[in-house]
Amino acid sequence: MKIRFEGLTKRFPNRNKKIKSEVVAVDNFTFEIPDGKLVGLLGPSGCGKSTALNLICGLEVPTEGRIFFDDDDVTDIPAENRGVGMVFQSYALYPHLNVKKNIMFPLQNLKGEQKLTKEQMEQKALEAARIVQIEELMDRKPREMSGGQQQRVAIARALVKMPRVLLLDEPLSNLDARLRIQTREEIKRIQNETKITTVFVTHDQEEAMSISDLIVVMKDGAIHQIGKPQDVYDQPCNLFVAKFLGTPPINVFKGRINGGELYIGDDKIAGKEFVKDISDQEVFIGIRPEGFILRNEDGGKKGVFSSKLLAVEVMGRDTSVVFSSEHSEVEGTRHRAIISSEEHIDPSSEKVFFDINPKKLFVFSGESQERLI
Amino acid sequence: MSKNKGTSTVAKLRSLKAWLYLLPALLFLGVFMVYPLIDVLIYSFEEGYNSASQTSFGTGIYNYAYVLHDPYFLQAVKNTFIIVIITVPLSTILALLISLGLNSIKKLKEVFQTIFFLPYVTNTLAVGLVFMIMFKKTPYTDGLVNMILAIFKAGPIDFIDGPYWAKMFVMCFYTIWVVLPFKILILTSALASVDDVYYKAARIDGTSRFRMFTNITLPMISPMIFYLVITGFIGAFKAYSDEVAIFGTDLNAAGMNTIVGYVYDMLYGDSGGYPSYAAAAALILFAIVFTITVINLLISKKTSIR
Amino acid sequence: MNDYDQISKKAGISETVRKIITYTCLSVWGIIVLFPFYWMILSSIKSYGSYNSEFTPRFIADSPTLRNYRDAFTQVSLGRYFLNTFIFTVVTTLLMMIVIVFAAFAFSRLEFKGKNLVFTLFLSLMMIPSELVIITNFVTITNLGLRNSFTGLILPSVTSVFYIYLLKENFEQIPDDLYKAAKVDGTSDLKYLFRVMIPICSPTIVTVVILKVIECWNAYVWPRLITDDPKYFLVSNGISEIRENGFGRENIPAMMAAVVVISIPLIILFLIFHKKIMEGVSRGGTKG
Repeated sequence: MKIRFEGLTKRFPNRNKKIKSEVVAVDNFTFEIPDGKLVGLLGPSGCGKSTALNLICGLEVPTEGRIFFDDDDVTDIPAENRGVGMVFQSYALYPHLNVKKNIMFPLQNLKGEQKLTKEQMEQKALEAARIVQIEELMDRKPREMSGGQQQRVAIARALVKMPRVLLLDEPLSNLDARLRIQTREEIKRIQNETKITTVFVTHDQEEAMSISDLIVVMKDGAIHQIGKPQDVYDQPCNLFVAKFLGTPPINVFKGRINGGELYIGDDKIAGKEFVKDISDQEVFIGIRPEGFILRNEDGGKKGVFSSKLLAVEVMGRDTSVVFSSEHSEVEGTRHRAIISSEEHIDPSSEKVFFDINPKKLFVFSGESQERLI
Repeated sequence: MSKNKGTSTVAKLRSLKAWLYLLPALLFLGVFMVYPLIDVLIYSFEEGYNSASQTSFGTGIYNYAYVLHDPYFLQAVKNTFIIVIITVPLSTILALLISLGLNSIKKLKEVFQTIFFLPYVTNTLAVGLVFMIMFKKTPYTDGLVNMILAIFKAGPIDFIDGPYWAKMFVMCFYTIWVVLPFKILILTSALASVDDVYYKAARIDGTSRFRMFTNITLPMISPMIFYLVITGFIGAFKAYSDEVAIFGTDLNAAGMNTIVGYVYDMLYGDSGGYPSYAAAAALILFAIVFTITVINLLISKKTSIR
Repeated sequence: MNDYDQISKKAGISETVRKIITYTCLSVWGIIVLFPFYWMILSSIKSYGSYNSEFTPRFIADSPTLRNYRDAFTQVSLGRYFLNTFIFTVVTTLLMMIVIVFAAFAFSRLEFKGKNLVFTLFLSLMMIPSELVIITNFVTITNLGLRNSFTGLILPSVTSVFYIYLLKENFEQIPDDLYKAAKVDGTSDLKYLFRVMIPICSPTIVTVVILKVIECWNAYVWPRLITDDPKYFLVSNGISEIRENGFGRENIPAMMAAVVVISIPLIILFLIFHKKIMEGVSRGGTKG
């Protein structure tokens, strides 16, 4: 099922009652989530992504705009009748009910023609439990289970009525690192099996990148970019998106375009063939850690970009070169370049020289922070 | 981009639903608490109100003047104050001692706690009757207490129909018996919540038991003690049913009436039918309790700041 | 080494002495608490004749009899008082639970205009002593012609601001997410209240029920004001009535049998739930 937003806006009164102006949690969303996809809503905390999720499931009523499930306008349908499944960050399992009763809970709310017999309910509960592989835990109470198990129960409960949409609010944030990777693959598998349109919210870009078919990057209630994870990573539309995606994060320097050429300080990073015909201005220059190509000074061929070497960290698979630059966007930033472990660098050298892979090099306007190149 | 009309309607509907849930409580509280509160004030200033004809002569402070000159009321005030002054400090100290004892033992602790709490759940009217027969002297028997007194070559005294101070003694004894369970319970849990590490630290420093009590225990549980003193004052000023339990419903005849008893007597029974006097007496009681509570709170604040 | 031996010996002795004193004192108070109960049971199984022939009361009954219990139920309307109190307790507690659960639910879970103001007013009502409002209530009930009726007995005591407060605090401890989850799962507010909130808060609810039952069972002042027809007496009034006009003034054993019968239900309740009751009371219950 498709989900479509048209001019969706949600404003809250300011928490501080003395301030009259409202807080815009979701600002004029217009886009479509295609049927059967896994979509990640990604953004820093407080960006309105959870509000967006609450609007989809009906826990919040939008101030303006409409929400459509396929062609049905569901904007005014309350949460209890919207037929979505939701997994909460805290799992929200009913502490007084065992796993089976927790999973059956949504089924017991069905009315009229949809009403099920007890046998049907148990059958469905068992099916849902099987999908998340917790059939053997049916008699446990929530507090007798680990976080990962509780998570699965929460997913089973959300799936049991075969919802039109499955929503997950920070589904992995309460799990430890190892379990997180395992569970996110699990979510991907379950989504693949059930083909239910799934929206999940996360502040962890790695999580979003790794399993989403589509990611929506948000900040301050506004959508900054929508696209496939790799596309968004490779073609960030502005400085915020570029900074938000990728670990280690992108390195940002202050620079300028001068006479069709790109400079960081005195270093000329790229020429006319890269800059094309953009007018002279102050810019921010973003370089992905993997975009640096090491050039040793003694090789005779100096790189286009020089900086002060701080440390060399050997990670095994690759090597991190930590350096600083007097042209960093934020002064004192420890920048990081990732190079192949086969490259050799003398940790005691003072300076380090790089060439830049143009595919990993982004130029943003100094004023609007929109991407120029 | 039209503003959603749904939002405000939904909010209104929700608000309405909430009020519906509150309705029973609001209704009962309105009729049986808020309205009476206003009404009692009016009563107290309506002179010569007659509940049968529902008429009054006018308004003024006559009701208060009448009540304050009524010897029965003055007797009731005296009795109430004596009960308060004797039972509140005594029961608090006794409860503290018992709680300290309970807290220092392990074996049988729960058994003792359960036994000590028993009076809380019993019908005070019923048990008062037992106290009455234990203390009472009749033509057939001197009663249990006099039998014990006889061992010490004292008595016999009629505690129920005899001298004032004998009656007052029974009254205070029974009152303490009734109020102690609550105080013991509160103080035992207060004592149990004092972290053991303080005592351990103090013992390593070689602190004596007495100093531990005055310098650690007492300051730590002082909020609870103040709470008990304040509620104890309020409760003791409202003494009534314990008196009925021992001396029967005609408290004026026994000379053991209390302020609350006076209020009810004015309202109902052989001497009843004067809600205005009852209201005035109740408001005087409220003023006394209020003043004492404020004084208590001020003292407790001063002490805790120090 | 000798010094240390002596110190530890001394410490051991003083510890033992302290223990003996503590246990003795506690036992003395224990006896004072329990003795009236012993005395009422003892007196209740003495026959009328043997009780009155003892100028010096005896601590055992020579020929125990249950006759007094039969008298208590036949000669005075103890059975009726009992039944009345039972009805009064059950109906009052039930009605109060409904009223306070809904009110606490509204305060804790629902959003509405003026919520804070209403709640503050509620809290301020907690300070009002019942003695003050009972006067008007007496007049109100009398004017409504509800004296000597269960309606008149029950109505003024079906709300308690304190219990609403207690329950509201407890309801608020349930995480918000549970409510949201239930909403998304298609649960109505009312269903959520009954299927999630009440089960989760059942310990508090049971505590409130028990405290209210104790309060109802021991109610004296209001029933005394509002009933003068013995057909509507509750046990507390019943016992005063028995004392003044019952078996003839001196039939103490029968009176004691009535006292035992009246005390037993609550004592049984207490023995079963003593942990819950004590916990509930220490969380802020006060008598009356």
